[in-house]
Amino acid sequence: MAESVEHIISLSSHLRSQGLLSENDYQCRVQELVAILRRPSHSLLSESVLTDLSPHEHTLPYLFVLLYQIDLARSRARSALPDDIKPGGRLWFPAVQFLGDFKGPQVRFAGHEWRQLVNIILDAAEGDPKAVLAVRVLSDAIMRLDQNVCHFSSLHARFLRLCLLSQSYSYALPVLDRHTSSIHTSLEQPARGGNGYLLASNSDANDCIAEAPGISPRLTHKDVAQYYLYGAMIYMALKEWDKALHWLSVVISLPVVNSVSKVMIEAFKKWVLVGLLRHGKLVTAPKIISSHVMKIYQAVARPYLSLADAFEKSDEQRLRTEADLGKSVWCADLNSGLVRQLFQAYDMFLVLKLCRVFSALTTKDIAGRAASSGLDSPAKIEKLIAFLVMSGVLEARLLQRPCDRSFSMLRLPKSTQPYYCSRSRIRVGLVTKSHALKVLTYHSQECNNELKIGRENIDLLVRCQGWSGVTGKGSSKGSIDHAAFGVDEDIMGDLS
Amino acid sequence: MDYLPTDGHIEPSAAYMGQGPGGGNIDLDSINGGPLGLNIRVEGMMHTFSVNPPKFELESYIANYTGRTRYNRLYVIGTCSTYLAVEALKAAIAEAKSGKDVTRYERAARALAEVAPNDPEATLDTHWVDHMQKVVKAETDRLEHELKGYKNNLIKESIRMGNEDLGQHYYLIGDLTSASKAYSRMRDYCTTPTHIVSMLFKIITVAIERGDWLSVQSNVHRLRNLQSKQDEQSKVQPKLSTALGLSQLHSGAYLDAANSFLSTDPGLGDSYTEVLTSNDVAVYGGLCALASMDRHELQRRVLDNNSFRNFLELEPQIRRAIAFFCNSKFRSCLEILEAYKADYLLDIHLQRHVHTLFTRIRTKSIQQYLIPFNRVTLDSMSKMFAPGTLTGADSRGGGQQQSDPDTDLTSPFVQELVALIQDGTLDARIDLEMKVLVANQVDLRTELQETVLDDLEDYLREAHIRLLRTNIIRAGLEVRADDKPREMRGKRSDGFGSATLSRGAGLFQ
Repeated sequence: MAESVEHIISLSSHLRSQGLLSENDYQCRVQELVAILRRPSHSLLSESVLTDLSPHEHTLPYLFVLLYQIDLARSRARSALPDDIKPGGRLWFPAVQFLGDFKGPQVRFAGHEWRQLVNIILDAAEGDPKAVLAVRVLSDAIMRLDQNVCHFSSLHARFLRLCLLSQSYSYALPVLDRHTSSIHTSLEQPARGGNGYLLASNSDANDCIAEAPGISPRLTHKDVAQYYLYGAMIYMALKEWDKALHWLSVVISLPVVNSVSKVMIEAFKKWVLVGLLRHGKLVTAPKIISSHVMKIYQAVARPYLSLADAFEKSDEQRLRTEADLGKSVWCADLNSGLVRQLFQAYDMFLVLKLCRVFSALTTKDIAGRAASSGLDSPAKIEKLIAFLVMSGVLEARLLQRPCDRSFSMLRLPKSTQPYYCSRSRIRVGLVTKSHALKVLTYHSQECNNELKIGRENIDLLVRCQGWSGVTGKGSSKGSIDHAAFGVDEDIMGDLS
Repeated sequence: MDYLPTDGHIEPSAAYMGQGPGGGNIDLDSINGGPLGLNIRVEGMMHTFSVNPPKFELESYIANYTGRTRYNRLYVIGTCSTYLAVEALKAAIAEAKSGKDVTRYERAARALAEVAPNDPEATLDTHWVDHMQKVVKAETDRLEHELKGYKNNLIKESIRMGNEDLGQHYYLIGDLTSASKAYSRMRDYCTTPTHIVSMLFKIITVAIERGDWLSVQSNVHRLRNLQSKQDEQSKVQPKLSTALGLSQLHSGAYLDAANSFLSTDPGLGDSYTEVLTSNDVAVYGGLCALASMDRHELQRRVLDNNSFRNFLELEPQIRRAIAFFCNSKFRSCLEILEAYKADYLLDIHLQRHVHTLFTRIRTKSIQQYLIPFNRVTLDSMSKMFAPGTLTGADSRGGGQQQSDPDTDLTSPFVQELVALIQDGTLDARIDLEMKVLVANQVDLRTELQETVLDDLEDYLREAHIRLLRTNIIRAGLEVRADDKPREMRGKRSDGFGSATLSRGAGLFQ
């Protein structure tokens, strides 16, 4: 049996020279290796292998040995989560080492096992106070695996949840940011193959649907909704309201067939609050949400809407009473933190509103206008304005007067930024936006092709079916374009 | 079109009733309560505008009108003005007594009793009331009986005339709903265009008194579409434009109303005194135009308008106000209007719109005043627009007064400016340190770039959501109530979602 180990290791070493092998050859070899490893006879792979082999060079054998050892530990301890696997345990270190060092292309062929390992680590980390240890490793691992393709899976949602639990938000950002900039078009894969997680790019997807369907759970709408809700919550914790708002609007505009999920309702409540915090008013909902869904939202989230109404109308008194009245609601929905932040935001928007009307005024004037709120003394207002100016929300200058220190003058020039500053800012904005547009266009074209409404396809259809007006000699290019465009419009139109 | 007479009578009235509330026509609420519900709601304003005595002579004013509008105007003046209350109400009582409308008499007497309880005319003349009620009853019965007879004889012309008489009678006794029903029933029996024209005019007159402006508009359009002879057309046109203008004024479409009044032919003369006089056309048209047109348009379409000049000559103060506005002498313009405000508030049609019209004119003047300036001292502005109040007049030199800016921020004029800036009417900002109003300078290039960036952002978001949606639907991951495999539900029912939500949300507490 020792030969078998030798054999495996030699096979795996061959893979190292990836550059020398052709694409096909490489795939064959990897598949052969995976097939051998999956045979139950490799039980002899002992723990010593874990110390002997490097996870980078022998990714696949290492993975299988690790899983085998974890199984052993489980059956020995007769529990799903023996101490060995928990952070700091005997098998924790090799697992972390593997996740930090594995070779992405090889793992793609053993997706099921990889997923199993990640799930085990997630399980182990979730209940543990040292969960933060796992977050970083997993973030790296997910990023490395997804380098070219970002296939959505239930793992993503679980990972974000772990980040939230361990309060290590910034580790989630690489994963989140990439998903916002590049839209994953691969959600159709699970439905087509019946598999939960496909570790392959579109081109060789067919090669690796080797796993039996049903072993890995299918994605559900809940996974998608939770992923975006968790993402939004991470952005909220980081106070990136814009992104949070967008992610929440993704959740609330998810397509529905006959009912609205609870996750979506939670998201709607948060969406109302985040809209207030970011824009100071109830934001207009995405048009794509159908009216009956909107009605459900409005019925369920009534306290939130009346709170938003009070906020919008700058009715300090009502805002406070609404917030007090709904205390139990906010607590039950666990939104009381957001509600508390509303008051701060309220003061901020009050000052900003005044600043649009006046180009110079004293802090005393502001105190007179904002008398009903907490901002009653010029000193407090000065503090708030200093904060706003420093955080870049407000472009203004405070002038303290030498003779009278009781209040200071606030001047609001049209722009305190030098001309070139604003220009470079706009330039950067344009560049990033154009990049995002490119990505988006690419994905939508891809989507068109997959839905068979690409331009060529339409062209073909037009020819085959002999549609009137465009068939026959000299079918004008313009009209075909028009036809294609018409269908395009349809697909991007309301699909609900 | 072969309606049975009964059908014909129910149908149009039902349509009117339906139209009223839909068009926001509040006056219809009180139709059943009696003629002209629109007066009632203004009584609350009594104290606000009875301060200045009106400039007109009541007797000569009311002598210009004929028909039922005399009483209505007198009643409005009587209930709204403290100076003319007794005089007007007495005249109203006399007017009512000369007619057959009992309810009108009762209302006028009641109103007089409130103002002057000791006046002998304030007590109800029950004898006259009883007598008149009997007369009216007998007359109604007689006319209805006659109509029935005509209907049995099936002579179209007789039926038409019977309905007309009945409508006329109802109109005189103040039952406006029945009157318009009776007039509408004439439609099927009209044989010549002249009949149709006279019928439509009667309907319009009743509708104006009812305050059913939608019906006025539709009937005016019906009249317009009738083909008739040239000379008849010229007789009909001025009445039509004024009626249309009135309905537009009441629905708040001031520009349309101004256009209608401006296109009124001077041939109107005193041919429509049962509704309004040429003086009224000048006032209504002038005010609506002032409130809705810019200086250039006012000059071109009002002052240089040959036919409208005839009207303006009747009301020279309106012409002067418009001329001042065109010459950017806003102060004088506003002063003239202010001086005549009491008069306008006593006008039956204008009174509810005076406030809105004046605010619009004032706002427009402020806007026009600011155009040439980059920065204006609040001082000079308040001298122009709020001569009554003082806004820190001594503070310009940076002297002692500057430490007391509260007077400025709280002064009504500055408050007005603040409100105007906040609702986006004025594109300027107030500098309380230097006491100036600074016009916002727009950096078009930056602004454009910012909008482009914002639009891009919006587009990206929208497209992202839609693309994602497409993909989700393609993957069959729509939210549905009950399609998950059983074991899946078992697995997830351990409070996975809710537990996480709660813990996650706890982060913000």
